[in-house]
Amino acid sequence: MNVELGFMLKKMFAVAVMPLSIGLILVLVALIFLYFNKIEKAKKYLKISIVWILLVTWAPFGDLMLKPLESAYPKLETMPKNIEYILLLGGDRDKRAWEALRLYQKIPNVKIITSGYSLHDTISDAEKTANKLMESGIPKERILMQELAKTTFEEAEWMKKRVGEQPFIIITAAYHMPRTMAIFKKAGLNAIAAPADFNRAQESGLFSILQSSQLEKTEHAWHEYIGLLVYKLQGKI
Amino acid sequence: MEYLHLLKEFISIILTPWIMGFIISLLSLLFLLLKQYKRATKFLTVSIVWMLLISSSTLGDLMIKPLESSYVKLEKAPKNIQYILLLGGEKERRAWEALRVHKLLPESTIITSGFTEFDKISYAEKTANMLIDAGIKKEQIKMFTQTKTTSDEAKEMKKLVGAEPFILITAAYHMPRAMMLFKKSGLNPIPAPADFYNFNENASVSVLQRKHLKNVEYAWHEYLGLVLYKLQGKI
Repeated sequence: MNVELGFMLKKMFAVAVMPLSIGLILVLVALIFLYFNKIEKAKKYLKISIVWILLVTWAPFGDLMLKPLESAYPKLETMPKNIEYILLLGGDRDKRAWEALRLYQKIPNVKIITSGYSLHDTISDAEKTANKLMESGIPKERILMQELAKTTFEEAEWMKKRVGEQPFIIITAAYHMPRTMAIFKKAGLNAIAAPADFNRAQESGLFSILQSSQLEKTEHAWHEYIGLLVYKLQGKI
Repeated sequence: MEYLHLLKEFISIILTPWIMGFIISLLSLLFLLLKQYKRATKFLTVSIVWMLLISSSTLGDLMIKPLESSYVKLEKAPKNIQYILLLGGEKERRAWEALRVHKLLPESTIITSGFTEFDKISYAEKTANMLIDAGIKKEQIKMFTQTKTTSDEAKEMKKLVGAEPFILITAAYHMPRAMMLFKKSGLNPIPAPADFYNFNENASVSVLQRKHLKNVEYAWHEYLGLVLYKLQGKI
């Protein structure tokens, strides 16, 4: 299969299995039953979809799903010695890159590697992140870019060529860290986890329901569990 | 006063675009239970079309663009500015602009803002800690720890600077409302919009994505806020 097509199919699949999409697909199924006058079935599916939406937008549910992922690696407090590189993985750069700034202040002479390809844009995600860091005061010569890898797996392969078994720090969102570390270890790399962008459970109460911020949590966790499963099946971790 | 606040919260939840979609499907279920099948079908169809619409790039881009294009990125900061006010909310996205502008004005003080609802430490303090971790000196940060709304922030700022110009940072979509409010209060803010949505002209239309849903939701909230402020005479 064409590589680009395979990638697009993967992206489409990822959208279809998201919690909100599942809710909508259930509503759609209910509607189809309604059109065919299968009232009981329509009722059943509509009820399920409503319960589903309430569940995935309810704070305790999102927290419950995220917790096992986020508690796997704590915030990096003691700075390791003799570290040459910090790898800042691609993704939500606004949220993750703060951790790169923090570590940069604490580790002398460290270099930051930004990561991320370009899907539609003329400039890559790695370059956008690099620009952001430079605007915030990090000198250009302390930043390197990795612009080709599309997945965490490819990022590990790229890093292996660059550093081999030499230890380095890896930054990604806390919920994404278990999968990332599994991949990097499997590739024979010595990564030190510096999780960023922790979701703060205490900021939301029991009554936080029907909120898109809660949906975001559920979505992140959901995406990770599916990713872990897929990688496991493929033997990547 | 407490009632009014609750009522306001309730209305703002009900008027959230995707919750409106959810309520329409609830109504459809209600009609199903009442055996009004035609109505149920109609409502359910409307709810699905509505959800597809508000989670589409088409509507998301259309709604957020007018708000974001009112003010451009601040390229040259005027000299002799003493304060940079960073409005409360979404600190990880907005505070990048504070770092950038502070590089242009190294002598300035950054003001962080926001009270606390559930947490022990205020939002202002959390934002300040993040900036300190990123290398800003503690003595170059000032905090407003009691502010709840943009109006509160304008009042505090008025006390601090009067009519002196200062840099105002908030999300680009929120800038039009913030600027009107601050000017009406007799302040002289210089806008430094942050957290622009990364429009992708080359991407094809996409639906069912939370980022579009978020754009629709935020923009909608801003338009409602603008109308409300106008009616109240705040802007």
